[in-house]
Amino acid sequence: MQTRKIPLGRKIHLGLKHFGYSLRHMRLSTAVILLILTAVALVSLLPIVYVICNAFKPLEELFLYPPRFFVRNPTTQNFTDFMYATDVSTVPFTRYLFNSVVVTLSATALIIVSSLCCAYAFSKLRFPGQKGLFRMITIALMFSPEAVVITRYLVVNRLGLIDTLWAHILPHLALPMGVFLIKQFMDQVPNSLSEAAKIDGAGEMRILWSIITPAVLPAVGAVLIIAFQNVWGDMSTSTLYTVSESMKTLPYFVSSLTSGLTASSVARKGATAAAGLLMLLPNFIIFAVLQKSMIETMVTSGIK
Amino acid sequence: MDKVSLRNVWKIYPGAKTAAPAVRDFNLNIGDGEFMVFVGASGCGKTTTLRMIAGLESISRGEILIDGKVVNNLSPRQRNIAMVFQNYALYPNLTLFENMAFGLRLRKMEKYRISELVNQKAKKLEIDHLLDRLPKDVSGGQRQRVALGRAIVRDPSVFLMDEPLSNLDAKMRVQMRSEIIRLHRELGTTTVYVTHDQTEAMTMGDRIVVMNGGVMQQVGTPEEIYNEPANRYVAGFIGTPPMNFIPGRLEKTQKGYAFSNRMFLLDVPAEKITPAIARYVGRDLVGGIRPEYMSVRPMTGEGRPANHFAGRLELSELVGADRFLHLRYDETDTLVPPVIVRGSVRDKFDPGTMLYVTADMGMFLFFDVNTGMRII
Ligand SMILES: Nc1ncnc2c1ncn2[C@@H]1O[C@H](COP(=O)(O)OP(=O)(O)O)[C@@H](O)[C@H]1O
Ligand SMILES: [Mg+2]
Repeated sequence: MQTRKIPLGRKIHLGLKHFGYSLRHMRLSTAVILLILTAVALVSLLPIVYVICNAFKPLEELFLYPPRFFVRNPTTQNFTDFMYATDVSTVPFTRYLFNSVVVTLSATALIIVSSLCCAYAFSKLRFPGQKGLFRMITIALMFSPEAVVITRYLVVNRLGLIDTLWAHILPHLALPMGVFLIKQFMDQVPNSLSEAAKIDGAGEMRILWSIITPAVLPAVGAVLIIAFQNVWGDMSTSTLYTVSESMKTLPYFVSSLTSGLTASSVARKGATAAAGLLMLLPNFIIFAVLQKSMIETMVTSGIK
Repeated sequence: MDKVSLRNVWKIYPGAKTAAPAVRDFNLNIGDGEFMVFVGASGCGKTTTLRMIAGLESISRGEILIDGKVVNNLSPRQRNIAMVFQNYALYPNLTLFENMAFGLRLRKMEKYRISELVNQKAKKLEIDHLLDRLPKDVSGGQRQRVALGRAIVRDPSVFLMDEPLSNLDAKMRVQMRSEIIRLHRELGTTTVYVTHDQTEAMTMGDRIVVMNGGVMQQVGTPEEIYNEPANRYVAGFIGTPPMNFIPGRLEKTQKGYAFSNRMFLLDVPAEKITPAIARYVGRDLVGGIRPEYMSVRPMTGEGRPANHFAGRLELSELVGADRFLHLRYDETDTLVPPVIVRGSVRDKFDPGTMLYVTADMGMFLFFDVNTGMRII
């Protein structure tokens, strides 16, 4: 990048034509914004790069003081360690993995189905109490899950779900953000579309599935990302609602590697670093596939 | 038997800002195979009425019958109607074929029948070569055809159309207008057609309903609506330029009767004086005359001819073969609007010219000052 003295407000030349967006005719204000955004993007990238680097650091680099950011001599030893570490736990590693996959898939699917149904009711149907209910959902947007942890526990307990996989799934289903995002999107879909389908003889579920859902797929994609990340990375359900090891999920297992319960936790520093990367991997994949719809949704709905 | 009947139908929107009902005491019988047009200014309740027939909007009071059966509590699909929306409302994720087939599939029709029907109707509408495209990949006029195709493929008992042409450009609109009429002749399906465009109403409708403020003003054939408007609203709404309204009073003269005001006196032919109008002798009323029943002549030396009045030319608009002349006959009162005379291309005068104006008194209409109802 060649820099020049830039007269305020004048067009500048940065020589970055291959950016896909011609920077040659850019105003200074745009350039400044772009620079700031790049910096922010780099900073938010740091933790991810750090996790990746850590996963490949040999033990001595992991314990180095002062710690080093980038890896010097990359090794896959940590992944091997990780596999061995899983051997000694009471429940096989695959059980945690199985639990996590089952819980994440079913919870995500259920979240999407329930968010779609709720959003449809709020956006395209008319019923008494509609406004008040939707206001409650918007208010619920402001509460973090931590704020309601005790009431949640009571509900899960009363329902007799303690120590079952349902305890991992059900608390996640109430995702106000999911309802909100999809409803905002559905509001853009003209009512005449669902009315035309109604006149064609379609019932509500058919209208939702065949006509409305295809029109709000970007929002569904965004909710999928949010839902997946919530469930896949959630360790609290394992610690709060389950007792037996066989009902716990991957995040719990990964954290227990270093939780100091065993004397060997120091030795597992490498295994943990590897596990950290493995846990992050599905997020990467999902985001890579769905990032377009995520961004589109956030822009349209005016959030963030 | 009437295909569609509306009996004392009211619509009051629950959340409406105004207390006035959107539709008030609407009564109408639509015959089998009739092409009925609802026309009126924006917000007069046309769409609301149509949606109540469709079942998309609940009926606040009164009842609607289709094929002699009260349908108030039937869902849209049970009413066997088809609707064409202003924005076409094509399903964006489905091909044109699937758009047309959607309703048939829901009726569990056999696959070969569906494809046969869709192709047949698509050919009729000249969209058969586009059937595997998505709605976003065809033009506005073609989308309009698909919307029509989706309606006719189901062979419903009533077509409902809500301003189906208003999103098209002027040329396309004229073309689709005749296409819809042709389709109606061919299929003979009862149609209710909503528009705010009086030309559309006059050219398409077997009968026309003129609405204003949620109230039906008149129902009748285009001729009846044009020549015998029920009231001032209808008289002023239909016709371009609109009918001239001239305040005055009816007087008895030596020769018979005359319509007069401060500026002029026009003899009224004796055969126009019915018992209904005779009661108005000596009272104020409003005269109505269409621009085409008036004419102008230049002022010459020999004084004002009988049954003429003078007017100053304010504006002269050449519209094709016609020239619309705006003449101010009462220059002392600026609140009195000018009369508009439909002259010929040859009636070319400079603005400000004084002209003699006359009216074909046989075509003169009289309206009650207070109620606005037509007297004769
Ligand atoms: N969903 C609604 N809620 C409240 N008022 C409505 C609703 N739809 C229409 N209206 C009102 O009802 C009146 C008639 O509307 P509409 O039938 O759409 O008129 P038109 O189709 O003749 O333009 C208008 O005053 C409009 O504001
Ligand atoms: Mg309307």
